[in-house]
Amino acid sequence: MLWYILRRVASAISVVIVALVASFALFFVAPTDPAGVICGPRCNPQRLADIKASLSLDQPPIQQLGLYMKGLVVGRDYTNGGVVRHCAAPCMGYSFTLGQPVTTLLWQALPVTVSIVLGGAIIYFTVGVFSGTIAARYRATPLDRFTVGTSLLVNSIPYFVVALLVALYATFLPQSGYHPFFENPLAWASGLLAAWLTLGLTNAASYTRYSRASMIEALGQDYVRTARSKGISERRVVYRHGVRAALTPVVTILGLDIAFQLTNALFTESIFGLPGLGVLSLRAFAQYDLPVLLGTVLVGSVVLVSMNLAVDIVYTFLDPRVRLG
Amino acid sequence: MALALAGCGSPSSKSNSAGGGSDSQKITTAQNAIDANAKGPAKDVPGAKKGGTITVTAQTTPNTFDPTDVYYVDSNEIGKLLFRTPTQFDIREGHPTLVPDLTDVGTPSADKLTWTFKMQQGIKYEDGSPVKVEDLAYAIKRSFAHDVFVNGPTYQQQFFKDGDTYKGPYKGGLNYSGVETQGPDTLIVHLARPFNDLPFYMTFPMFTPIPQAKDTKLDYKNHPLATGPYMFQAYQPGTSLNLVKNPNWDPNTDPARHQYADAFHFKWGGDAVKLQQAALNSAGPDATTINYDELDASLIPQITGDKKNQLVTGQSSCTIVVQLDSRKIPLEVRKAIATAWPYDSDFKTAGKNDYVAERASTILPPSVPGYQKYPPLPGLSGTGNGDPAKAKQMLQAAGKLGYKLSWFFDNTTPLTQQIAQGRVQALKAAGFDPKPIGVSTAELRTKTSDYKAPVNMGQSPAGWCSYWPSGGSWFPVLFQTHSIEDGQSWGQLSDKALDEEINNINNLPTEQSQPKWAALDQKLMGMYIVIPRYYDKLAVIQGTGLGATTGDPTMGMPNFLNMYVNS
Repeated sequence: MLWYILRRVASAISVVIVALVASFALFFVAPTDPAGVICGPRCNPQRLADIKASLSLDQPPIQQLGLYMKGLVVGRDYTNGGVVRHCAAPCMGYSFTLGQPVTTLLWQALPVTVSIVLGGAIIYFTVGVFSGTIAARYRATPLDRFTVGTSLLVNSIPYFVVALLVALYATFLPQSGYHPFFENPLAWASGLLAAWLTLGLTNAASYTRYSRASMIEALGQDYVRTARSKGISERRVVYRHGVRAALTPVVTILGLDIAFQLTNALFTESIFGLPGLGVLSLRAFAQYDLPVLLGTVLVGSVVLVSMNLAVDIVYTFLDPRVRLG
Repeated sequence: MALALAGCGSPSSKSNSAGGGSDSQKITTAQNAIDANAKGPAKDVPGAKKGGTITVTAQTTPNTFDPTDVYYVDSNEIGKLLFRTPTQFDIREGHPTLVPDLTDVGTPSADKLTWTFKMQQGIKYEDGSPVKVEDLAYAIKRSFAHDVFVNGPTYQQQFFKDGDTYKGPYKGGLNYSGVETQGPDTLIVHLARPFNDLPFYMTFPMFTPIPQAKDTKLDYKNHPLATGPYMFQAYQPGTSLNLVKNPNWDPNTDPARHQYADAFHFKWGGDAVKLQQAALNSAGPDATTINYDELDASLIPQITGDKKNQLVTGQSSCTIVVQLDSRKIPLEVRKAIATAWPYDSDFKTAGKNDYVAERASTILPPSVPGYQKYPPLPGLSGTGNGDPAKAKQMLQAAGKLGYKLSWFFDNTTPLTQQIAQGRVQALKAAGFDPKPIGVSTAELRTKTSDYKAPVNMGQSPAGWCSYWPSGGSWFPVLFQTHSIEDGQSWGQLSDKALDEEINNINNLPTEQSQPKWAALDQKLMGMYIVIPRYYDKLAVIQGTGLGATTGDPTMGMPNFLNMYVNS
């Protein structure tokens, strides 16, 4: 088991490294102009050259990559005009456009994205599992058909359309904006409510279907028939025995979904004006801000790889039949 | 993607404010003004009230608040809330008037190579410590550390004594011959050559005092010491900035600023149209919000009735052009290009409207002293859709029918592709052979800044904004021989007589140079080296809970110093 975990961790690290190297390579292969963006419209060749030198863009790309990797592991020093800045490991460098440590910018953005995704997840998981359970319990009734039909309808509208409609016309909801939780929990919640409801209710449709299918299978199991034959109430059979078994695959999907959404909250953040990782990476992309781009790639790949790894490991405990070899 | 807000200029009438009333108002001609005797407190804004928080939104993030590194108009304008400088602009009736701020407006020596500035006493930083004249000198020295602070302006390197060799205090030490202090209140600047506009240049944030002991170098931008009416409370780089009142700012010493609101809350990011719509709707906290992104054309139909009062208009200091390479295109052909140019469709295709831009016919925009509205030269009125038949005749007469024209354009966005197509059609109809070269957005800058590239028009800079409101920040930069090597040439002129003429005008006192700049403007336009497109204007939206906001023509931004909450 330990050997299995170690192998998976090593594999995960190599995936992250490949993602970083590929992003770095793409940046230099594609036409980019980070110094030009900073230089602005009143740019002249001398100023452009000064900016390139200050960002170390005048060094060979391989050297820049090597220094970046070194910084991640042991830290590095940046020297400009007699001023030395030490960047402790894991050093992700300084934003080309803002001159701020990338770790600072990521730490600012991460709570926003996590707040959006977790809040939305609570809503779509709760609503989805509840409605899916009801639909399964009253299978083939008008209630079931209504539930399934509604989820299909919601699923067929593109997410960004729903989000835009909510952002523009649902003015009865509190104005969206991010306030740190520890400063004002109420403002934090009200500022995220519109995003949570949009993300939650649109994704609840999928979880309704997942839960319904899983519940139907669980309610058809022998142990459930046994429970019924012992005279246990239908309510107890469904919610105590059926739901617990049905939840396992749904929770697996939830874990992977959360990881995916943490790295894909761009639409939600842009539309609701929430300064999370998605907006940060979009701005970095538009401004050719390589250090920030690499930082978001690093965070995203670590999250995705970690969640996949965690799910695989948890599964081996949940189901001993899963082979480890 | 713009870090660079290329300034918007907006025309406005006397009020130059929100509620300027009707649609696009023409830019008014600026008058040059220096009020050397101005004293604090600044004249009250009619109807202004104290209190409340003003929220300011924009899509683009200011890149820094280190005063030495400030370059773009957004951080420059916000900097006026924080940083007092030797001199400053007081915006009066929409026009900038140079006034004393921390020092007087300066006294030049007879040979104009030494300027003496007397500093006010009793000024304090936000932490209550006194501002010393040595701090002013240190800030000037710090501005020479250009490899540390790469964004800041560099005129001091050209004009200050030994400015080309001194590398700032971190590398070059504190001994610098270009600046000295005498006693507790005298700052002396030594120049390598005359610089009549120095008092105007001293309005830049890089001249705000910085105590050497509190210079945290590259971290200074995260909390620069304030001398202005507001100071940092909380800053999330790239996202938000909260400013609160500076308790150690004394209005009686400041002729240019006010402290009406209790706080400013800046929020960056988010979609510009959505932010403008929110300000227009003015629901809840949006009522005390102003968004300084350029007014989006899609919102114009909503600006009627009472909503007109939410439109803030003002001047800017930018002229946008297409330049013609005089080394490659003969004069007669350049005249034919101007005759054929589709100004109206070009303006419309670019998504411009009369709120955010005004048709240009001169080099200097009207908001800059030295501008004169002379009758447009033939083909250079900035209006109309060209006369292809006449242009063709001109080409035939010159024996240049089928003349090849080439320029670079961004072929990755529909807008720039459409603009290029429109120009191709118009020039073809006039008998030219246009061959524009499509490049990616990232490559465009490199290509258009290469004056050796195989094109003959459309090179950069495609516009210019004043560093300060004077012809001195235009003509010496753009039209002398060195401008080609500097990569900032309009028309690629190389004429020693013209170089000398410009230097002579630039050496004159401000009031004498203005009419000469105007004459030179007309002369240069007569060389047909630029196709004038438009002057930028300021047109932004604010909520109903804010007082009548004016524009700052030196930056093309709302004048934060005069803003107040009305509700």
